[in-house]
Amino acid sequence: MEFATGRAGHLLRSACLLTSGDTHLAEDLVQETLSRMYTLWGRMSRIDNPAAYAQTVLVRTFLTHRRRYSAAERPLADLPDAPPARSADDPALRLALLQALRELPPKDRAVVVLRYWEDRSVEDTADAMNVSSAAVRTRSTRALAKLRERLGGSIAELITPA
Amino acid sequence: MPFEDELGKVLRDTAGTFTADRRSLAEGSLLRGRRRLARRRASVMAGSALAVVLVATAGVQLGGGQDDDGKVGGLASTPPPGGGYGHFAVTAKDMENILQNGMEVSGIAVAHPTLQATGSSEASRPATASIDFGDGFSAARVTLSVRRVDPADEDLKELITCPPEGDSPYEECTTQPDNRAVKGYTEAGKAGGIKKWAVTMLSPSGYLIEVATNNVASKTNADTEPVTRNPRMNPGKLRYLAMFVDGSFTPAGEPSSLGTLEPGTQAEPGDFLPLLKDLLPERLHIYSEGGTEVGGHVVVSDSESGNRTYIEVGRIAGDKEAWNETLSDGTKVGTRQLPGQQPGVVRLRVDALRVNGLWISISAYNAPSPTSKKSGAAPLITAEELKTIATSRSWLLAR
Repeated sequence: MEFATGRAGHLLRSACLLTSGDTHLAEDLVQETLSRMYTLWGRMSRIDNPAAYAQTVLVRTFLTHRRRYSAAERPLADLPDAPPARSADDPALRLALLQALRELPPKDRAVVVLRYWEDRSVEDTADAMNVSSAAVRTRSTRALAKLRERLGGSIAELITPA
Repeated sequence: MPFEDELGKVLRDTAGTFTADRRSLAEGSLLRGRRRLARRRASVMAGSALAVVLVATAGVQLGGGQDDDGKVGGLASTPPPGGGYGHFAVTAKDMENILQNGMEVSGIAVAHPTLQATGSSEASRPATASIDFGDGFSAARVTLSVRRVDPADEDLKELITCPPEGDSPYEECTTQPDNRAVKGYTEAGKAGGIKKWAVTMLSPSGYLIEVATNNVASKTNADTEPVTRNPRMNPGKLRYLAMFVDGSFTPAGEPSSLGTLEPGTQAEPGDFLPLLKDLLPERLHIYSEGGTEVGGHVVVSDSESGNRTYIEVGRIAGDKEAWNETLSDGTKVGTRQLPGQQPGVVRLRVDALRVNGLWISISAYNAPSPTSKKSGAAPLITAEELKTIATSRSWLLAR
């Protein structure tokens, strides 16, 4: 219970980025992840870093979910009711990031989250996603190009010291 | 700064805006984990046929099962004082307020709500309410129905107990714990079809409550295409909503003050607003206020000039570190003056990062809101006063 309570916040933030802001789905993914960790608890002593392992389980759960249900999902092209961009630390600008993430394929999004939110190496990212390092590099390059194109100058606004 | 570094910072900023009720998430996870483990063990022991029996049995035990008197879930059947279970009096307006307040306390984001409700003055006739709203992704609808019943009524057991797994018409069905018989189920639709998630709850006070949502856009008929595979609102939140509705009625059959308050007249959960109000200098008169679970704001006014200042405080997970000083207890403090959005508007911002990682950020604008025109030459509160507030140890107690 302590592990679950301690990790739930961080896992939810990762899940929110992976789902590009779908908090309901993110909560489901976190619960699924922690429930799987619960079933592994007896073997946990053999896992070097349970927190990192939980993140890996989360990403795999997300990718499995996307693979299984992507045909039935109909993501909206635009976020409804998004307010117009305002000041530098306005939520609308963060919504722009979430919108840009949403336009990435799920695996590319997972690479971005693992590499730039989790600060994982290419090799760790490849290991978490069960793909080759080369595939991670390719996806990373492609995702960054897409985000750069999509966010353009607004990313500078997002990080301008407020 | 390389784009990758910028992206990392923005991701951290954005992720920091998502907050969780960690305890309920953890509890939900453990419940799922136990079920998963029970299913696995059962299937290992004796194959799938036995597994169905064991899971069904475990479900009944979780819900309290039947005691020797045949009562479900340990519910008391003592009739309430007064008119027993035959009295029911609730207006349509009460039902609207109960549903809207319940959505707020359940942590469900609601934009542009449209409410419809019917009251009831007869025990046999249900009172209903529905809310159509934007949930940030698409339109959604939640419906509520409340009926007065005798909780000892044997016929009600069927409504609140899951059928055996093999015969179940539901995709998921759990008889839930608590000293209330709570049922959450998923009504299976065709692949890619419309699904309804509902929680049916029999309260010890004598109410049969059902809250439900589905995966189609609101204000439409049954021919509508599903928006997502599953309804966006998870069963846990529906269950929380059902429990709030139960608390909104008295055992005597009438609405209590809990749910029928005019929505929006009370601060939302969280300690930030009360703490902010408590820490404000006494000379400031609070004109209006508001709050969420992670922050609060007040608008203070000067009775002589009529100028107003917007002051907001919140816990953030930022990484734009700009500190001017470090206090003796290790708390880093950053004080800045920034231009506001409108001409002449000044934003005073003070950040305090404690050694335990708690980062409090407080800002004051010489305007009634961050986007309004200026109201006075400077905020009605000084940077030094903001610093006193930001570095208060009271924030360590904030939820």
